[in-house]
Amino acid sequence: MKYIFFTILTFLNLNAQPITPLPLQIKTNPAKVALGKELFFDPILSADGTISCASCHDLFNGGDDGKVHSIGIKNQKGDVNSPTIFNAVFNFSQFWDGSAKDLQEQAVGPIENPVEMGNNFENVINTLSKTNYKEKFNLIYKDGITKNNITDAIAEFEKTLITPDSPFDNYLRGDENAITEKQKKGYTLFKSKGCISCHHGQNIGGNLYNKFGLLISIKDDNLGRYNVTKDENDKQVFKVPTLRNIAHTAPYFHNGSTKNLKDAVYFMAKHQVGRAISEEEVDQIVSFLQSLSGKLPKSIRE
Amino acid sequence: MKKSVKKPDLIIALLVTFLVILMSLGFYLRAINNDIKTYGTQVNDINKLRLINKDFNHFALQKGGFVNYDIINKQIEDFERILDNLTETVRKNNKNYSLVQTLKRIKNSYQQKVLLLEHIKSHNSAISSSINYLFDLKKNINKFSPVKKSDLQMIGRTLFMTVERYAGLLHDNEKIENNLQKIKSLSQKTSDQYLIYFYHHIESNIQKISNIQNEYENVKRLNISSKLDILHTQLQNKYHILLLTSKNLLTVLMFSILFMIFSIYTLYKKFLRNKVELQAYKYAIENSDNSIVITDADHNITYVNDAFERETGYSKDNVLGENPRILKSGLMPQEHYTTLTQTLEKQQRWEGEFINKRKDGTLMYEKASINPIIINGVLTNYIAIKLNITKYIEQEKKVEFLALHDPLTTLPNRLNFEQYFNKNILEKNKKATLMYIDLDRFKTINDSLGHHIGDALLQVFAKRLQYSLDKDDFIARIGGDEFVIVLEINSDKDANKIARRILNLLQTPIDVHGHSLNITTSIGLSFFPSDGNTLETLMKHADTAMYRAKKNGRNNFQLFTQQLSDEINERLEIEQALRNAVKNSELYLVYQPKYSLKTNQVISFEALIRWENDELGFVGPDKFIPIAEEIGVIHEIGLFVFEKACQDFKSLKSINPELKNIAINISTIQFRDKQFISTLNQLCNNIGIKPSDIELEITESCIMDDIEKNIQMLHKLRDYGYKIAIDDFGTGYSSFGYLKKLPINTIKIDKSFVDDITIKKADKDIVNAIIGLCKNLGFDTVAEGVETKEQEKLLYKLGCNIGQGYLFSRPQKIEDIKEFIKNRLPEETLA
Repeated sequence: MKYIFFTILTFLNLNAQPITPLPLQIKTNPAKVALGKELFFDPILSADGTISCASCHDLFNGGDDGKVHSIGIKNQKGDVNSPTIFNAVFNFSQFWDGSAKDLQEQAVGPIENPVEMGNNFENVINTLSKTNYKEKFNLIYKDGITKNNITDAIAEFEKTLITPDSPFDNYLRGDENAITEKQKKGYTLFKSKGCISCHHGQNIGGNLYNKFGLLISIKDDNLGRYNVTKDENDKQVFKVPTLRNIAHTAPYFHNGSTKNLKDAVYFMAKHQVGRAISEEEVDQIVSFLQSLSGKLPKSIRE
Repeated sequence: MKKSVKKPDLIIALLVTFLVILMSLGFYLRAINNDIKTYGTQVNDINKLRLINKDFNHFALQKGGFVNYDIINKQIEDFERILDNLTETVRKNNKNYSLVQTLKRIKNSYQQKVLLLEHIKSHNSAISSSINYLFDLKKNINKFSPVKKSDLQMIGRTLFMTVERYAGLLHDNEKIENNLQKIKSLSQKTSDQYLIYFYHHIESNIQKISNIQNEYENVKRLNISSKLDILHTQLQNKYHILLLTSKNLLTVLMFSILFMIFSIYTLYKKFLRNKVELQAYKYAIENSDNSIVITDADHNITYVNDAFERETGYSKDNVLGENPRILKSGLMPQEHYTTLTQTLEKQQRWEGEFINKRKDGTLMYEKASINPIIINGVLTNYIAIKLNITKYIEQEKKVEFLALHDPLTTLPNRLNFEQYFNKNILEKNKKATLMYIDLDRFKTINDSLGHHIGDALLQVFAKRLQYSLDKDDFIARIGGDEFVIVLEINSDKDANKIARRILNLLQTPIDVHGHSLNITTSIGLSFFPSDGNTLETLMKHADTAMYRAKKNGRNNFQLFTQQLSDEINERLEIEQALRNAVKNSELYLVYQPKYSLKTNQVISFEALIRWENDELGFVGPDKFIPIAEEIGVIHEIGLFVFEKACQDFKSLKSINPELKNIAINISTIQFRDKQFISTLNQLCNNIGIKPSDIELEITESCIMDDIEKNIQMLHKLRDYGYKIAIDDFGTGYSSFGYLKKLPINTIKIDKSFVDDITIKKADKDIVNAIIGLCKNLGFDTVAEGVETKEQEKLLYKLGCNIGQGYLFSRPQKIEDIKEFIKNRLPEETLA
């Protein structure tokens, strides 16, 4: 009996709502946001003035660059796929390997990364000080231009880059017609196929790490989280990415190895959850995934 | 001023100290209060961390089913935030090493735990999804896979065991792994997709279940909760220390308040004592007999006491805010005030005197001391203490005046005169006249009318003198009725003029207390430098001159001459010699017989005194008797004469028993002696002679001097048997009316009448009248100075019974007289 009870208990748990809608907005400091936005689009942050944050995080195109690996200064190629910046604020950590705790910590990374902006903050501050940024910083921050303030402003801007009002969120909020029947079926499959065990929460992912090739391992040079923790168990472990706006953020995975969503679903079914899946089921799941695309942030749209 | 700390400073110091203590205590208590508040927050945080940690543990323990990791992520985030916050507050407030260390350990454990939780999350996601699917797989295997029933059962058991393993009911993978090998070979044999998936899932699950169990064990080992307990205990200890500290601080505060109250109470008591003392001082100042004036540093009066008001006549309202110079009389030299100002500017005490003016304008003398009041090195006030010495000054002046002035007439006295003369005349060698004035018969007025009359007379005379003379002329009273005048003139003419003016002053009688007094004065003058170089000499000479004026009948003035000086010298010599004359037996008697004009028989002798001095030679009685009278030796001489005469008479009578008596001259001075009669009686007795053998010759002027009293005296003498003759009759101012009252026996007609009796009719008439009168009254008449036969004849004719003179006999010494009478015994008769 107790096995049955245990089983029921497990399924009951599954009935709990695993995905929650995004908040419609996050409280931010408008001045910092404005400054952060300016910095975000300004290539001044890069060593040679060619690359801005927006270079790899195209806000009009899913918040990423659509490339397998991003291109840094001097056309250097990065080693990971650029993740979307949208809703990054809801991720429990930043970067694929979780090496940044939050947005502000994350903003440091690309600036100092030799293959990305290839700069250092001493130089950044020096450069900014010669521009009208100095005045702008002084208006907001007592201590003017500092590493902390630069990343703070950028992070503050990034907090506004959320995509609420996706059809699925509206559905979750009670609008039964917000998504199609197919999408609803896709959602049911999404849960029953076990996707939900990793892709859940308000960001539908982005709240745990797991192994790439959990059930059936994949050959991959990127050691992932192992680089951060140096724990053998963390080899090829990556942050589970958000599935919001997933339809717009191809190519997929940390290595950008998969070009379309369907393939990605197939790939996941096989290697992650280890399940047989029909084409119809994949189609339905993809349909569901498409309902996760929200609206571009108002500040960007205008 | 500078000694010790003053009270207000002490109070301020106390208050400041107290304030500092209070403030620092306040700050400290506030800090402690904050710490305690922080402690509350910290404990709260610790409790939150405990709860979250419990959730972590719970999360790690929970098995099966879907979990939304947003929640655990939120808790992980919360835990870190709270822990960081706690670390921050501990760093900031507690600064306690062990606390920070504990926090570090917690953080470390937390980080490890987070890593473990991440793994658990990953594994849990995988397992929960996988186990769900395994049941589906098993159904599919049952339906579609080409396996034996026993294998199916084995597969079922394997699934079941896996679930058991996951639920913690199975403790190792051994059995499952055994089955797993079978399943593997089965799947390889059949190449069944479901079997292959099943195999992978089981393999993956048991691996992950082992991992998750290890991880759970590790989570438990991290034991954050006990570390939180340690933190809590440490904080609690700190908190207790804080509580204890604050308690101690409160105790300190209480004691400092008590101390403050006690200090203030003590100071207050002291203050009260000081207040009483100050009141006493104030009372002392208020009621001081000295004027006390306090000014501010700019010399404006801020306080005066009652004595000031009393002495100056100014009230407090009049002078407050004024400068003390309102009292200035202007009589002090300006330098006086300059010195005063300079002294005060040097912040030194000044002492001196002021002549100040009262409100009513009268002057006052003040002895003052002015002290700058310096408090803490800053000059704040001046205090003047002044004593009114007006009375003293006036008294001093009066004493000075009295020392140099005669209180009765207010004229300068002898001392003043001497000083004046020495200073103004002798030292400057100025020519001057010294006038010595003596009132005539002043003694008589004093004796008869009383001293008050005499004093009043002197005052009037002094006034008249002052009015009659120039202001520059110096007038002094140097003795009872003696005045001197110093005139700075040296001509006889001017001096005479002034002397005459002075004599004329007294032509008008002086009216004193109802008496109209006629008085005259005698004046002697001497001149400087001609009459002497010293005041003593000049005075002596002026006195001599005055004496001469008296001699000259008074009411006149005399200038000093050398002759005068000689006379005086002679007189002085006589005086000196006379004092020893009796003792040295320089005196002797001569006798002149009185004879009957009728019978030419000697009736009696008149004893006459003679003096022969070794140096002076023979000095006549007319010269030395007045001096003897004056210097008092007349008594001695009188007795000598009386005694000698009586003895001689005894011997003469033994020769001629017919002799009636011996005549002895009695001086006025002797006559007035109260002991006179008894002395005579005793001598008579001693010598053995009857008073009736003695005729006392008394001059007319002597008798008339005090006639009533003398009559009594004469009666007494007569009663004892003495015979009495009036000598020099006719020269005085005899009132014939008195003659009959006089108990006398004989009248001796003065020689001056007898001399010209034969030539001048008037004299003859007078002698005639006298003789006639005497006859009527029964007196014998004796004519003195009979020198010619004609005189003798005429006198006899006129009825005079007795004669005396050269014609009959010169006065002779006793030996000669004895011879004389022997020769003239019985048979001799007059023609």
